[in-house]
Amino acid sequence: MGTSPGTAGATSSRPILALVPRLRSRVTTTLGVLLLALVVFWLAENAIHDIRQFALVSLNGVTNGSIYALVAIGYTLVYGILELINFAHGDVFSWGVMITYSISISWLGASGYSGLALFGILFAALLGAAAFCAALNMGVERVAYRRLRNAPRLAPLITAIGMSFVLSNLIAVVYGFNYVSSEPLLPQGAIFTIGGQAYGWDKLIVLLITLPALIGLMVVVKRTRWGKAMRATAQNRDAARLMGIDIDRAIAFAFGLGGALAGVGGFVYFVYFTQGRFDLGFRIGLFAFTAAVLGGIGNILGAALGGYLIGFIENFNSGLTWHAPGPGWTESLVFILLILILVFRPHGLLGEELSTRS
Amino acid sequence: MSIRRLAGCLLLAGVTAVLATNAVNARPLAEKHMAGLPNTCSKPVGNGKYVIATDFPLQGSLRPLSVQMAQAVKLELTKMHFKIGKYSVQLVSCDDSTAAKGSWDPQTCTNNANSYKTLSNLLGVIGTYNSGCAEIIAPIINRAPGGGIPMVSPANTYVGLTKPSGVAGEPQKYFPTGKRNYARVAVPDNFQGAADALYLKRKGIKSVYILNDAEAYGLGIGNNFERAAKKLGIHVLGNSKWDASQPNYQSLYQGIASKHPQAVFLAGIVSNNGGQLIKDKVSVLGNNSKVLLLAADGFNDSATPKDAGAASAGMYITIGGSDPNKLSNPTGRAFVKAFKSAYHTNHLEAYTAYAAQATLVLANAIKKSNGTRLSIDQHLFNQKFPRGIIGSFRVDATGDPTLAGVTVDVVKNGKIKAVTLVNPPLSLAKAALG
Repeated sequence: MGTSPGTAGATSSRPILALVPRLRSRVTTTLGVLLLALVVFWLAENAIHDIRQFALVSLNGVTNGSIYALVAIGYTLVYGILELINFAHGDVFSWGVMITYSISISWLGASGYSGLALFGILFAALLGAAAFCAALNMGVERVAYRRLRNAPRLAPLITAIGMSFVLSNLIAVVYGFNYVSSEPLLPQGAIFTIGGQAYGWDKLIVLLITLPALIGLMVVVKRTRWGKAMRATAQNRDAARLMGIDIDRAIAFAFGLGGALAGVGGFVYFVYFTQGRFDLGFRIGLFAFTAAVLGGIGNILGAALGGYLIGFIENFNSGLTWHAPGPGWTESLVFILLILILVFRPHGLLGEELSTRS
Repeated sequence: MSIRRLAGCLLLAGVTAVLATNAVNARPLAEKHMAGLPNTCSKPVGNGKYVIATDFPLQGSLRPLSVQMAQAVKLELTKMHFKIGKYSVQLVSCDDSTAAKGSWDPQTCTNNANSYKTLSNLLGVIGTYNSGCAEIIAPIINRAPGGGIPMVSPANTYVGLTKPSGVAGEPQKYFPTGKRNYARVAVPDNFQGAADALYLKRKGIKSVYILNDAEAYGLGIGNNFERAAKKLGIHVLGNSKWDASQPNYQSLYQGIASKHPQAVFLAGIVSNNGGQLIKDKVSVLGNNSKVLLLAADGFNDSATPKDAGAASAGMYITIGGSDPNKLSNPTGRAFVKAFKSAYHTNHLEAYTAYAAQATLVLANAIKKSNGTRLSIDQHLFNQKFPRGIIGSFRVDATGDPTLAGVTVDVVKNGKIKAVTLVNPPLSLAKAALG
C-alpha cells in the first residue's frame, strides 16, 4: 500500500523536529560551560597574577556576602511560605541599621566605652535590632499582607513595593536624609597579614555573628515545632490547617524570623561599616533578592549561597587587578549573572529541592 | 464599636489631621511664591520689580555651605538696598537638590532652569554649586526669550563650562544660541589640578592613585590632576571610579594597595559616599600620614570630618581660590567681618566669599547694561575688580577669573584649616588642560 506524498513528508520531518530541542539544549549547555570556563580562567589568572591580593579580596567577599546572606534568607523565607516577594524586606534591614545606631551610639554612647562595657552595649544593640525588625516585619505582614492573602498576586506585590517606600520614608522622618555614622566600634587590630595587608578582628567578628545566626536559623526551621509548622504551611496550606496548624501564626513566625535576621544583618552592617542612611535598603535589598533567586528562591541554603556569591562578585570586581571591569560595573555583572543563571538553571543553583517540594 | 473599627477610625482621623495641617501650611506657601518661579524657591526678599535668583543644593550634606552662599548674596544685595543701578530687585533662594538624594538632582536642575526661562523679569542667576547642575541649567537658560539669562557661579570649577576640555562640543554646547551668558569666580579645575599636583610634588610624593566619582566635575578634575602630575614626573598608578552606591571600598583599596601608592587623590564630591571612602582608605592603606590623602574642593565641606570621623584627620583638601577665613585684602576682610557679624558665625565655608563676589560681578554687569539681558550678558565679561572681595582679578572673555591661587587645607581636630596657598605656573595649568 502506497502512502500519500504528504504523509511521507511529515513522517520524514519528524526525526529532524525531534532533534531541535536536544540540539538547543546542547548548545545552551555548551555555552554555559564555556562561560563558566571563562570565569574560572579569569579567576585563576588573577590568582596566579597576585595570590595574596586574590586571598584578601576573597575574604572581603565572605564578609560582605555574610550580610547579603542574612537579608536574602528573609526574602526566601517569605517567598517559600507565601510566594510573595517582600520588597519591604530591604527597608526592614535599613531599620536594623538605624536601630543599632540609636541603641549603641545615641542612647548608650558606645564610642566612649571599651572592653566588656562595649561588648554589653553592642549585645544590647544586637538584641534590640533583631527584636525590633522581627516585630516590624510581623507588623508589616499583619497590616499589609494578611488581608491580601487570597487576592490576585499583583495586589500583595504592589503593596510590598508601597510598604518599602513607607518604611524607607519613615526612617527619613526619624533620622533625616543624611548619613548617620560613628567611629569604629569593633577591634581594628590585625589577626594576620597577607602581603602587608591586615585581616582584622572586625571581619572575623562579622563571621562570628553571621554564621551562628545562619546555623541557628537552619536549626529552628528543621528541628523546632514552629519550623515544622512553617514548612508544612509552605508545602500545603490547606493540609497544614487540617492537621491543626495555625496558619496565621506560622506565616507570622516566618516574617518574624526573616525580620530578626534582617535586624542581625543591620547590626552587622552598622558595626562593620559604621554608617547608615535611610535609602540603604534599596541596593542591599535588591542584591539580597537577587541572591535569593540565584540560590533558588524558597531554598534557605540557596539564599545563603547566593548572598556569598554576590559578595564575591562585588569584591572580585572591585579588588582584582587583572582585567576586572571595575566597581562601576558591579550591578551590571550581578544582574548578568542572574540572567545567565535563570537561562541555564531556571530554578536557581540549589533549586531542585524547591521543585521537588512543589 | 469593635476595637478594629475604632483603630480604623483613629487612623483615618490621624491621616485627615495630617493632611489638613499640610493644607493649612501650604496655603501661605503657595501665596508667597511669585508666579513662574520654581517651587523650590523661597519667599522673595525685597520688593523690587526685577528678580535675582540663587541656585544651590540646600539639602543634604552641602546645606551648611549652600546656606552661607545664599546668605552672602543676600548680604551684598542688602548693602545695595536691593537696588542695582536704576533697577530695584528682589532675591529668591532656590534649591537644586532633593532631600532623598541629599545632593544636587539633575531633574530638579532641569525644572528650575525651565522655570527661570519663563520669567521675563529675572535679571540673573547666582549659582550653581555643582558643575554638573550648571551643565544642565546653562544651555536651557541660554535659550530664554529676550536673551540668555545671565548666570554667575561662585563655585563651578569644571573647565569645560567655559573652555575646551577635551570633551566634544564643549563649551559651545552650553551656549546653543552662540552668545555666552555664563561667568564664574572660582578658579577652574585645571589650576586646581595643577596646584594639587604641585603640592604633592613639594611633599616629595612620587606615586599617586586617583579615584573619581564619575560626575562631570570629578572626572574633569581627576583628568586635570592626572595630566599635571604626569607633567611633574609623578607616577600616576591609576585613575578609576568609585561607585557611590557601594557599601564599602575595602576591596577597591586592596587593589590599589598592591600598586603601593604614596598618595591617593579623591576627585569628586563628599556627598557621593565620601565618608566611607575615606574610612576605608585609612582602614586598608593606613592613616593619612602613612599614605597621603588629598581631595579636591568637592570635599571642602564640614560634612567631610563629620562623615569620615577620625579617619579624615590629616587629610588635605583644596579650594579653588583663597581661604575665605584668611582673606588678606581690605575688601575681603571687611566682607568677612560683616558676614560674621550679620550671621553670628565664626567660620566661613569654602565658597561664601565667592558667592558675595559673584553677586558683585552680576551687579556690575547689570549696572553697566541698558537693562536687557543681552546687554547684561555682554557686560559680564572683561570686568575688572582691582579691589575685589577675593582679591584683585578680572573676568576674562570666556567668563573665567584671572586667579590662579589654590588653598590647601588640612583636617585637624575635626575642623578644616588652611595650610598654604599654592600658585601653579600657567604652563602647568595649561598642561593640566590637555
